[in-house]
Amino acid sequence: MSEEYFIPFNFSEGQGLQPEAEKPLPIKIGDLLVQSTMIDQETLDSCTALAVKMHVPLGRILSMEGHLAEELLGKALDVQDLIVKGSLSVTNGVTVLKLIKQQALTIEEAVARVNALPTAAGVKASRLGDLLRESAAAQQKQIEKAIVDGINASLPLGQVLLNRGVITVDLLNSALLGLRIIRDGIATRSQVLQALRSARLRKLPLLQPLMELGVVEEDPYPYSDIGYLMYLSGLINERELISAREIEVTEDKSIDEALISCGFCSEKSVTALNELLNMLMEGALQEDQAIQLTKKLETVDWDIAQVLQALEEQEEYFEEELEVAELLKVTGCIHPEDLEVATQKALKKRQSLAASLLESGFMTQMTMDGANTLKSLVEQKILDLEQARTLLAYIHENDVDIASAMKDFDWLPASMS
Amino acid sequence: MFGSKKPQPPPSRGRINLPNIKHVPSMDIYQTMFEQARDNQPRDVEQLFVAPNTNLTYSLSVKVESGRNNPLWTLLEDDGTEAQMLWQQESGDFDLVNDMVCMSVQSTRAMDRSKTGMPALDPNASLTQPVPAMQQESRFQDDSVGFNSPPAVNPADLAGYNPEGSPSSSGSFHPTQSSSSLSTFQQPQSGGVDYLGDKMPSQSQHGPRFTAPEPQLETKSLEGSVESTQISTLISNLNNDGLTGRLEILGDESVGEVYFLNGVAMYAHVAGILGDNAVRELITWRKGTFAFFPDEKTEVRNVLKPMMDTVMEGIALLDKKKHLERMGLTTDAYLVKKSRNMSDTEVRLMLTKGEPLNVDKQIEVYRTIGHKYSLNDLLRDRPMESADWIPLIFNFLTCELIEIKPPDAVKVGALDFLGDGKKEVDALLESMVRQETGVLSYSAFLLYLQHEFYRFEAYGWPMSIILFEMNRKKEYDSNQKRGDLQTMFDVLPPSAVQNAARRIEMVKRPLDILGHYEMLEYALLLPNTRTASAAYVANRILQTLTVTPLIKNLDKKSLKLAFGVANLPADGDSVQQLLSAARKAKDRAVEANFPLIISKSYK
Repeated sequence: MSEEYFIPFNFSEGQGLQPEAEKPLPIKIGDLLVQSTMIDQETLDSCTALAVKMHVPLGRILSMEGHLAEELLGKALDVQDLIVKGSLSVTNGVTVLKLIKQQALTIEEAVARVNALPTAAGVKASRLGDLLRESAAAQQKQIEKAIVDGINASLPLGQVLLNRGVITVDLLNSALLGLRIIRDGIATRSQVLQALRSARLRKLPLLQPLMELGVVEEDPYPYSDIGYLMYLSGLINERELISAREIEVTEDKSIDEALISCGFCSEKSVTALNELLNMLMEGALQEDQAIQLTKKLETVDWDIAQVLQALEEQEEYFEEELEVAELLKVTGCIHPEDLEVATQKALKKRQSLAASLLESGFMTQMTMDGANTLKSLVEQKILDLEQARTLLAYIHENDVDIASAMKDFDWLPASMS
Repeated sequence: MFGSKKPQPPPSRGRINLPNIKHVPSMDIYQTMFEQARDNQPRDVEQLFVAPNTNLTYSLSVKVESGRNNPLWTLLEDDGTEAQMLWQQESGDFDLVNDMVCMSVQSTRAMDRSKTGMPALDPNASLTQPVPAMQQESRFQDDSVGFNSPPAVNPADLAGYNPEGSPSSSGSFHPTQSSSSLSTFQQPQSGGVDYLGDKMPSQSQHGPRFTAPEPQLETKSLEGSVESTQISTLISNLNNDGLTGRLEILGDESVGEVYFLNGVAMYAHVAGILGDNAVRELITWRKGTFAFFPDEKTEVRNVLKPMMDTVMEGIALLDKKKHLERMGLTTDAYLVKKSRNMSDTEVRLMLTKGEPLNVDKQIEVYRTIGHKYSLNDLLRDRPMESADWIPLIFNFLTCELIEIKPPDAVKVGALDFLGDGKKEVDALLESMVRQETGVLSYSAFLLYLQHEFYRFEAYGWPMSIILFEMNRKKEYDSNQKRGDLQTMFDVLPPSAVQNAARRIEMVKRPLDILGHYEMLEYALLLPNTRTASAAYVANRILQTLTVTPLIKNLDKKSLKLAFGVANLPADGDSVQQLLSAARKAKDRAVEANFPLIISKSYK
């Protein structure tokens, strides 16, 4: 060491020889636990007093007293460590612990979610959020709030925006398709943005403006994954499919993984579904056969051998008879006395009951058409009777047609949408 | 040749002439010209050259002046009978100048004889659209037949040159300052209106670069962003350049379009506004993108006023809008009357300071403005086009009748005026919530229910209740069929209930009350709501609870949900009847194939 760097200690000048003072912790473990609502302040105070008295670590007391499971305590200490290292801010550390406690996430999962939170500088990278903001479909503030709410409610961003009415299902569908297209290099981001903006304003599906721009000539994803097969079979509805798609494109998962993480199918049924899909694509199965077998997977957890065996067994087709008049009566669309009057009149005039109801002004054409369509849908087992009743009441109360009602409830089957 | 015919290029005193060449100048010539001009300011440096296989001669000159950032390039063309200026460009980018020179030479050669000025591009427009195959083919065919590339021209530059006006291969094609700044090569050259109607112009009329639009695939000749190119400039240039086609503008909220026929705006519409008003409206837009689709026509005409008048009105409107925005106007901003009790006469007097508008209408609108009244509210109550509301609000502001306040300045809680006194109310509300779930307690829910029932009795407002259960299937066995496990349920852990409550919060209206119901169930009270609408809300709750797992390992398959919907007056006229009907429906939903039952289904 050169001389100029040697600074001798001179005790005579009164300098105390003390070890370098430890840097104060950004947050004590007790405070971290209180702020993340793992324990309350009262518990912390009493346990701290006991820990001091007994000369044991606070964590051990908390664990021994049954206030905190050891596993959670370990995670809290890990989070504190991340805060000390500067990898997490105190606020984010608290949020991470809350997520771990509330949603049983791993530290990595919770940190990943928190890293998507908006900062003072604005929205952090969110593929869907950015696309929606840049296409003027949602404002920055709405997206920021939705990201926070989504993390708190364990919902993907798109679903929060849907719930809040910021965007429509069709727009979310288009945005997610856009992200898939960008991911797969079919179009550039700016092309997708331009098309998405046009699609939003003209209320069109994204594909049309993309075709007009000459970016694609046809649907780049025609019927090619098990998500769509499940949707076609009615195992999941449109919104559930969209949710899985969002996880697929925003979390870089395959659609299979996304469907599993959403809880729509198990790993075993995913394998079976993929086999079914392959058979369908190769022409070994008809579409209706594939759909029937897919439906079976809702109630059983078959492997492919069992699925193929089921091919041999023909389902009995049971057609439920349903009286339109009864449907109208039980949904409150017509009063029983009015029904009686209309029936008598129909008998007297030798006309149909429907004509009599309409002629008497007991029923609007819209409701009558809705009842007839619903009868048919129930008989074909496309809808449950309970759904038909709810829809008919909705049609009657709001004077909307059957298609609008089914769309409002997201009950429009894939075959009809 | 040059200087022999009228109009002649203005003679420059002390011009430096470089030796004539018989090809398009090469890059080193541009460099030499610039250096000469720079070293001999303010003298012009001129290079004469001949386009191969034509009788056309060109004069390219450059001038460097102290007031300018970049040298000014000018290209003149002489066909032996007449000379005309093709363009002027201020640029230090030799690639750009080279592109423009090549383009001009190529363009005029291909058309044999140029009757118009050199088409230049919109300063900020960019053409990112790939050229459709048909167009590319015709272009390349044309090039191969009639034009041998001059040796001095970089082949890469020529390849990148796009007759439709796109940037060069280097992407360096930039603004020109030509007065005719928005022409494209697809511009009809014949002038006049001799191909109105549906008859398409022939190739010979318009030169080989004219390409008919493909029947299905729209071909844009020009596009850009409104942020960088004002709509007024765009419309004026399309007007000046005599173009035919459709200008489509995508704004944030709606789409507008204007059809031009030889530069004359024929038809315009945007968001239900038609004609001259639509043009004015479009001019006020400052965000969005535009694209021009050549040769699209319409036979309907609704733009009647002279375009320049409309553009000037639009610009004036835009100025007012900018001023209002500077003063803090947004759609959510509040319009606050400065004085609440002004008589009509006083208002009338105040308005005399403003622009002369219909005073009665102004007073009528002024009277509409109420307490906590935003621009959104005004436009909801009195729908107006921006051409109408901007001058009105501008007048109100300049005549000091109103002030504009940001949304947050007015949005306060109803009890905020209590200050610290409000804390007691907050504490009371807090005590009504079950801590572990964050959801209103059963007794608190009943309190709200009772209150709503009084409203039902007093005013006859309908009320609905959604009674529901959320449970976890105890040992979900996927090998057993649905329905076998219904007796084996666990209550949800508090964290799952908290998440569920957060999701329901997103779906319900702020006025709807969510609470615990008895020990293990939940209920949502929906004031002024009928059965089917309540069923709609219940269905949305069902969807949002199952769309992704509530917490880890609590997904759609392991979650047991059942919803019963009841309503007053549909299901009776007392709270007891309402709750009884809801209970019956919910119990039925537990057994049903679909977990949502409306009570009147089973009356």
